Amino acid sequence: MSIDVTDVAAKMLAAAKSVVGTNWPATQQYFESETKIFAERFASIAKLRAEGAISEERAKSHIEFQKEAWETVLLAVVGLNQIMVERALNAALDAVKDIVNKAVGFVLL
Amino acid sequence: MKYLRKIQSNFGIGILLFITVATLAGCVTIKLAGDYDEQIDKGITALQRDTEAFLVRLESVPGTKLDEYEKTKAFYGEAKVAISSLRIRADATERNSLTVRMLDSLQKNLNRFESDHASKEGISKRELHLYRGGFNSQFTAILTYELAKKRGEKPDEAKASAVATPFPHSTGDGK
Repeated sequence: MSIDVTDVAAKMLAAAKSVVGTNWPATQQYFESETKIFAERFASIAKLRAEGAISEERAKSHIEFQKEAWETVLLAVVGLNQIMVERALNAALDAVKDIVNKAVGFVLL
Repeated sequence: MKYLRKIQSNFGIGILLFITVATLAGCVTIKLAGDYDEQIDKGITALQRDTEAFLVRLESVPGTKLDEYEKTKAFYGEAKVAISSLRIRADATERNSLTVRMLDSLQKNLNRFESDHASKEGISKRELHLYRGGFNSQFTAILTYELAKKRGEKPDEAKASAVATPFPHSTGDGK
């Protein structure tokens, strides 16, 4: 039995798209929400410095602190996307495993 | 000629399938990130609670500055040990480099906070929300990613992908 590559590709794509469509909006929302919070913190550092409430050295320290925290958030976003890709790949394989297994005559996927 | 083209076409499809299967190394399930670790989950949750309790204690003294570093420095040692233990555990798990890097960032910020606290300038209460907010962003990021590793457990999937509830002290200048 031959495999209809177009059909298999369409099924894999649909399954993967479904996973991305479900997971990406939440990750995007998390990323956007944190971005806004960090922007507010940077503005707050500038205000404290402008008012003379903190030294220039301390302002720099605050910026470095927030950059480090921001990096942690970005790493989480990378991780969430990595898991989303993993789920999409597995969903795509799952969507066509019956077709492929039947075509080859044994359990391949 | 016609048969030759058909053979070439089938051969191409076969190669494509072979590459796909070979890439998957015979595995049905692909795994790009490490497994969920309950100890990381609990450890970060406990560290968040301890850090928040510490910050509340620091700002409870009268005046515009936080409580003195010398009186409170025991916390830093305990927190460093806690992060170091979690890092060792995370590093021992396969495909877990992101969690390790996140814990390294947390450690760096704890060191920076301690250094600022121990400095001649000290830390004023008006600055505290910046440290608290940054730490909370880091705790949330580490926990969000850890919970997302709980594959196939529906209730936590929703929790892991939900936007973190903003902390009341994470914005503004604390006036």
